[in-house]
Formats: sequence, structure tokens, C-alpha cells
Amino acid sequence: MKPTNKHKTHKPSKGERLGWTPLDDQSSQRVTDQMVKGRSISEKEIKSRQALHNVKNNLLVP
Amino acid sequence: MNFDYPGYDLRFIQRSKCTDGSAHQYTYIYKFYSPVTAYHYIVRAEYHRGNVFAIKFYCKKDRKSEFKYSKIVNRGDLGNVIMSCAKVIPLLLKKHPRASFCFAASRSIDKNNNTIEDYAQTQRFRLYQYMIPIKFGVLTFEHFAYDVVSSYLLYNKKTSIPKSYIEETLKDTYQTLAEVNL
Repeated sequence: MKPTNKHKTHKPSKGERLGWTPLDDQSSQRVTDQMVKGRSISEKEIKSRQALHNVKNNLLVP
Repeated sequence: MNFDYPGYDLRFIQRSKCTDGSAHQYTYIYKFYSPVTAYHYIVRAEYHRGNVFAIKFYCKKDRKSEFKYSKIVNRGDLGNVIMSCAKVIPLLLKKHPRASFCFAASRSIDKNNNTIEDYAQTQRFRLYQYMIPIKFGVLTFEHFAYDVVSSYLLYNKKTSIPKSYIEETLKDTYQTLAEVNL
């Protein structure tokens, strides 16, 4: 058998690299109350991020 | 990245009714074109009971795919594409000044080895979570992130509808994780 150099040329795709789920695995969890409990992003955090990016006057919605 | 992209002009296509008996009542459909990717994109703003819009978009070439929201176009111009979708919010606020907005970030598909991203904190969600607070302030909205279902809510401060009602509505409409993120 002719040796291949696949081990040198094969670049794993993103799903392979990150161990994503096979597409045909259709099992899905039911959405629970816990999953739809939002984590509040504080005004302080948002304002500091906006200041960091200097976008104060460039907002789509104030 | 400061997301300083102008985005493209949105063209209103139609308002389509939803008659499946769920909390989803109708959808505003918009379209825009990216000269960089040379593709048209469709933006859907799905209005739900509770005065909340779920914003979705896909590349028009994928319109017949069941994974249209999950496909990666991979032709660049991401900043302008995302900003064009975000521009639907100020437009809708003119008609619905008390509306809230929800973004369910789809799971990406790797078509090379037929795999799909897991539900929590998808790459799209991480991008939205980064971009939305930079473009939407705190005067109009309260911001909430839902890491497990990769979703983000801009909760309108003027609404009289409790946040828990919106969350319950979305939970009833999208009963499984697969429905939320696909």
C-alpha cells in the first residue's frame, strides 16, 4: 500500500477540533425555568464598556 | 473591535401573519445586500405576545435549508452584516416604542464533518454579548444574557409587561433547546 501523507496535510475542521455534536443527533433538552432566568448586565458594566470603545455618541439606541 | 460599521440599508419586504396558535403573532421581513459577500440577507423580526420581537437573520441563498440560521457564510463583512440586522431595532421602536427585543444565537454548523455547536454560549452568542452593549444604551433598555440558551434580551424600560412574562412566553413558544437555537 502506498503510504499517505494525510497526517501531515489533514487540518481538522472546527467541529472536529472543538468536539461538536454530530448533526444527526437530534436529542434535545426541554427548556426549563432555570434556563430562562436572565443574568442582568449592570448599567455600570455597559457604560464602562461603551467608554472603553468611545461610542457614547454613536449608539443605535440610547 | 469597536463595531464601528455603518451597516447597509434595510428594505422592508412584508408583514406576514403567523397562525400556528403560538405566542408568535406576525413577522416583519426585511432584506439587505452586502456588496462584499455579494449576497442578499433576510432579517426577520418575529413579534410575540408580551410585546417582544425575536430578531433572526440568514443569508438568502440558504433560505431552503433547515439549517439556514446556523450556516456560516464565511465571506467576511461580518461587522456590516450584524450592524444591518441591528438597525432593525430603531426602525421597530418607531412603530412599537415599548417593545423588547430578544436574540437567540444559533448554533454553527460544520458541514465538513457534519457536526453542530453545543447550545450554551455559542460563538454567535459571544459576539452578540460583546456587540449589543456597545450599540444599545441603558436609557431605553435593561440588558439580560441567557448563557445556557445562548440568548440575549433587551428589555424595554417603558413596558408594563414583567420580564418573567416574556421569559415564560418564549419558553412556551420554543419548548426545546433545539427550537431556541436553530
